[in-house]
Amino acid sequence: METVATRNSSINLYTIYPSIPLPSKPVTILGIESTAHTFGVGIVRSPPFRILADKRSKYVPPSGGIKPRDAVEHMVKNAPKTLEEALREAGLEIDEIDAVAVALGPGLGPTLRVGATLGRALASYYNKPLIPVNHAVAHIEIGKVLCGMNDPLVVYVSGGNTTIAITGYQRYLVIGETMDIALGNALDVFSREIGIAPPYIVNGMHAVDLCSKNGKYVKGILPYTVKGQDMSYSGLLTAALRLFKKGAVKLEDLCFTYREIAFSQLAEAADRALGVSGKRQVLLVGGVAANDELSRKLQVMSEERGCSYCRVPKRYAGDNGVMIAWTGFLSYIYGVTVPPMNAYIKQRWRLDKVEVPWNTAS
Amino acid sequence: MEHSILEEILERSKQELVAIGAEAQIWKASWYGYPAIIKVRRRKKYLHPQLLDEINVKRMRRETKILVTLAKTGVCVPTLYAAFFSKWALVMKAIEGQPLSQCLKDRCSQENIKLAGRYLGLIHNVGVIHGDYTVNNMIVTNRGDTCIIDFGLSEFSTDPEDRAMDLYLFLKSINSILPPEIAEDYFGIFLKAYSSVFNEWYAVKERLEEIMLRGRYVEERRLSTRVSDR
Repeated sequence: METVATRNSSINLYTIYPSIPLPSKPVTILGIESTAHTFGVGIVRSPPFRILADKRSKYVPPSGGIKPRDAVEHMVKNAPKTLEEALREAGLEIDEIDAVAVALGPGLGPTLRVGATLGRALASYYNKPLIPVNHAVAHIEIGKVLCGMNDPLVVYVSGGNTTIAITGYQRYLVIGETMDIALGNALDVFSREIGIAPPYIVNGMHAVDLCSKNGKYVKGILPYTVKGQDMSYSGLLTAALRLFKKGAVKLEDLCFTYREIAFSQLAEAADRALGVSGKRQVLLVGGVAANDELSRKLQVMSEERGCSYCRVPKRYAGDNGVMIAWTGFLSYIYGVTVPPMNAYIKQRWRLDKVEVPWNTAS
Repeated sequence: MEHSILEEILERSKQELVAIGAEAQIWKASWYGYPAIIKVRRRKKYLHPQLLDEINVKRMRRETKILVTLAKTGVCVPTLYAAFFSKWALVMKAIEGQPLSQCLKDRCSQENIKLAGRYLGLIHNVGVIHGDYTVNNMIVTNRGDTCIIDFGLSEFSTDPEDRAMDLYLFLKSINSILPPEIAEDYFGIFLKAYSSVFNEWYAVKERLEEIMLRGRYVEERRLSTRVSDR
């Protein structure tokens, strides 16, 4: 199990965060994640970096995509149990937690409110500091700490995000991103519309991966759109669905070509971003990071550039409470907290709008 | 058959590799006795070979089309000699001179800045944007002309945002090598020349101000030390 390995890891935090003011006594943070389909509670204690608990309850739609109301219902039902289980796994009482971190955005409003409500309640009832965490920053921080990277070019891909970012002074800079829909969204909608999903993921393979197994590349049937370091997926999706309806291309070839173009666009944008930024490390994070084919492409690209490459351990690629707790820890030692009465959710909270005090490189 | 003979000539024309960019290798060459450069697009191992061929050819088509379009506008751009789509290679006239970036450090004449602005106006007038309009991509020739090179990222576009981005990139590139007052001065000269030939200056001006403002908000964000909790 990957968790066991990361649990007792001896990660040197100073190599990742050179000027971090680590507290002399370990701090325990509980993190709550509820931005989309996963309700997660994670508990992290540091220094040294240790994951004490990681419990999740995932809402899987029986058909179609995430229906916010159903997702909320699922979360409300499972939240208390998930919290309890996490505390039990860590062997802690709630009093032994030093602060509560909660993902306040970006994400779906209704589901965000579930996590925010729980976070506010815990913080005010047990009189703990409440830490606001940006979901995107959390994905990056857990990747950085588990991969041991200090200044990477971050490729962050999930159902809602496709972003290429680098470290700026006290924040992250977005140097490339999708101009319309996210890569994960493009894969999900495509597989749904052609009738091979849900379920979207079977044994860690996406429906599109399974479908393209015996496919081959067909030249010139789908558009390829990379502009500078930005890319677009909506035109690709529309064109692929139109071809599917016509039925002129074999399904496995269509899947293969679609996936090939979708991943290549991201890899080429990242390639250019490396050229522009001059970074020497590439870090792949986010839910779609669990895709082996995408990871392979980015690895080949990084090697071609002479850069080191790492993808976040698969277990922590998807949404989880641990990454919120870890980012909460970083925020906590820099004194970033919010009074519970002001802890509003932010559905639209761009990565580059977040103050990140531990980013000291410019 | 004939094609392969031409390809052989292409290979023989190459003299020395002068630069490796993100997208292409640049070779110094002699094309039927004329000084030329050969730009060969890079192989990218992470792309499917057929996809790579597809996009490289597409981009070469665009680049050749733009070079030919611009040749009729009076802008000094490299003359296109030949295109080898199967080899991903473009043969262009070599432009002798020094980069404007170098020339600016030695305090070259404002005439070159004026030309850079005027040429960008002419480029935008025919619905083309350069995409990487920095002083590194301009060459001051011995006759004092300012030639524009590297249309690898250029596109057909009339979007004010794209056009304003060309202007903004130029501003950033002179800011990085000149003292602020002089850079501001030069950018004024540049804009004056640009707007005197470009017809839709007003929309671009508005967008340019917006882009520069984006930058300023960034500064303000940096100065604030506390996270806003809204």
